[in-house]
Amino acid sequence: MNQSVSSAKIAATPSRDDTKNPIDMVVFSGANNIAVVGLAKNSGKTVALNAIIKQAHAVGMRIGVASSGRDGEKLDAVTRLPKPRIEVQRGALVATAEKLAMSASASLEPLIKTKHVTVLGRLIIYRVNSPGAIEIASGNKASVVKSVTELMRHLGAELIVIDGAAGRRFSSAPSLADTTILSTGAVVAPTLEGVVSRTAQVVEILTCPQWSDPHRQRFDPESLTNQDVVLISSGAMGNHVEELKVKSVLVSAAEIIRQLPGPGSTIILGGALPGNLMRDLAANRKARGSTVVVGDATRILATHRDLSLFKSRGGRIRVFHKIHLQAITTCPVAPDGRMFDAETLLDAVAKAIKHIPVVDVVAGKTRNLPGYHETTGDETGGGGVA
Amino acid sequence: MEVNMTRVRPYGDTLDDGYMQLSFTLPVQCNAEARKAAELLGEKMGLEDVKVVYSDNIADNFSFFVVYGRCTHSVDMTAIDIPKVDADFMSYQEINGFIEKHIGRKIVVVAACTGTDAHTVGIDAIINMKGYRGEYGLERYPWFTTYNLGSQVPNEDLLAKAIQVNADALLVSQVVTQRNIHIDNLTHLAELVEAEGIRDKVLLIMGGPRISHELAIELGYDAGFGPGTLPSHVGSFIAQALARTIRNSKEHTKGVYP
Repeated sequence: MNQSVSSAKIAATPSRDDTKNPIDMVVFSGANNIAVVGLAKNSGKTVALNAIIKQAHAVGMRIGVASSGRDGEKLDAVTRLPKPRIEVQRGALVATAEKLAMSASASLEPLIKTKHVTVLGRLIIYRVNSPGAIEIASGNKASVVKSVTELMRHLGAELIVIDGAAGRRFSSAPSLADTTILSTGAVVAPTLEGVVSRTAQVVEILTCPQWSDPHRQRFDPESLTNQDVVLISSGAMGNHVEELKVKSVLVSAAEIIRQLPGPGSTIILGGALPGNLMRDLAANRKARGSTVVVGDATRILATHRDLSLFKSRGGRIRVFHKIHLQAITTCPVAPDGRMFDAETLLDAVAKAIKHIPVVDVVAGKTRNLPGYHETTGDETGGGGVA
Repeated sequence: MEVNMTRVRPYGDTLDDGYMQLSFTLPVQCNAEARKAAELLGEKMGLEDVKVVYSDNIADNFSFFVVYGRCTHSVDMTAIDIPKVDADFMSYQEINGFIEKHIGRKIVVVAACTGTDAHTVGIDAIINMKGYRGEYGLERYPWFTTYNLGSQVPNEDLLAKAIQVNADALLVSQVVTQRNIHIDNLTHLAELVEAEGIRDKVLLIMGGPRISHELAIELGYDAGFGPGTLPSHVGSFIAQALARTIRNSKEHTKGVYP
């Protein structure tokens, strides 16, 4: 990208010229692990990933690349249309299955054979010795992806990018990534309005606010499992905290509601937040005005509709660890050939989601950059420069 | 007959002649112009020596064609690499013996047709006692305990059952794939399993006529089974994958790497 940048060691806030594009800005943001997740397949994740890899290389950062699905394949598994390849530069680290590495056009040197055997074979961490295209699959579970990214960190990766799998968003969990990029595009819905509203819904869930109650100190969210449910109620005699052991909230929703002390309680869930719990709570008077707390936003698996129903009864959703959504990327083309005007889509998404930078990576256009837009004052509008 | 695997072409009457036949409908009346249109279409598709060998009206303003022609293209089959389910397929007896020896307890499987999908024919063929194509379903295997939850099961209910019975494997059948609804549905289930923190404990398996192992991998499943799958295929995979997980977790505790 910019030559003057590559020679300077990046530390503080870069000059405005270097940060026109938030995808580039991500590289300077101090992020350690960036998750690129999407609303669906073919929403532009790999294009965003390539932009980050390229920029990191340009400024001399050692990058590590992982994928929570399978990325960089030549043809789409569903549409059979060509997909963008993942282009890696010399010095980068990648975590992928041995079998996929053999067909890469980049020349790779194996550094560590991990203990993880995936459906595509054993995962190996490679160093790229000459640039080229590569297919990456680094495990289909959060535990495995976490393990290989930690290994790449030990091996000297300064910035790790985790490409998402189709519409899966588990890799944006703060335990895996401290920064998230969300890709959306024409593939999401047949109409512009549909794309914008579905994107706004996902953003609303992903950026679910942190639980700031004084009780928070008492809990170590990492030690909670899907069998842990905590009910907190405040009454005349102070707060009452009750810790329940259940099979899972999926099995024991009725029991949890039975145990609810009354309206305005807080319900901490160690596992997922499913749609049926939202509907059950919304239907119960005792659950009015209650707050449901989960580990992070990737645990929220209720539909936007079920969440809205719960919220309309005074309910609130909070998380222990907030996801830092750095930017949204838009892709105006769908694999079936439908196409929106790139700028119209960009503007529409930016207008609906004012507090987060929105970028069309291919066109190189950006909206909602911090410091540029008129509507400021939102707590999440910091971008990442701060 | 020596087939060149780097240049495989259709076989008509002799090797590599490239002759192929296709059929299609055009939304026009069947006449000389329509037949010419069908021929031109064949040429545009990369056929040479195109002959319209059959044409007829099938309704008002709809005509049907059978076209014969020489395909000018070839494919390099040595460059094709399709991910396949990694398992040695075993027989009914072998699978039961394998589980007894390597796992030592019954394997618990929970299966369902999820979402709005009501087409249980696939999952029934794999799970139900009577099985499919002369093979017993997993329900009949003494070393499997199976739960077939039927059709239109919400992902939440499927996972709830799996947690209740400590399932080793979840089998999801998806037949309806219009507008890729199956992808959203399968994605949601995988996210739910991960959010519940039990992804390391269960095998996630998908199946259906439009399902490939490739799609399964992309969505973070452990295996995908397409058309023609038999109960023993699924049974072999589950038994071997579970044995591998058990073996790995033992190695894990020994600390193989930093």
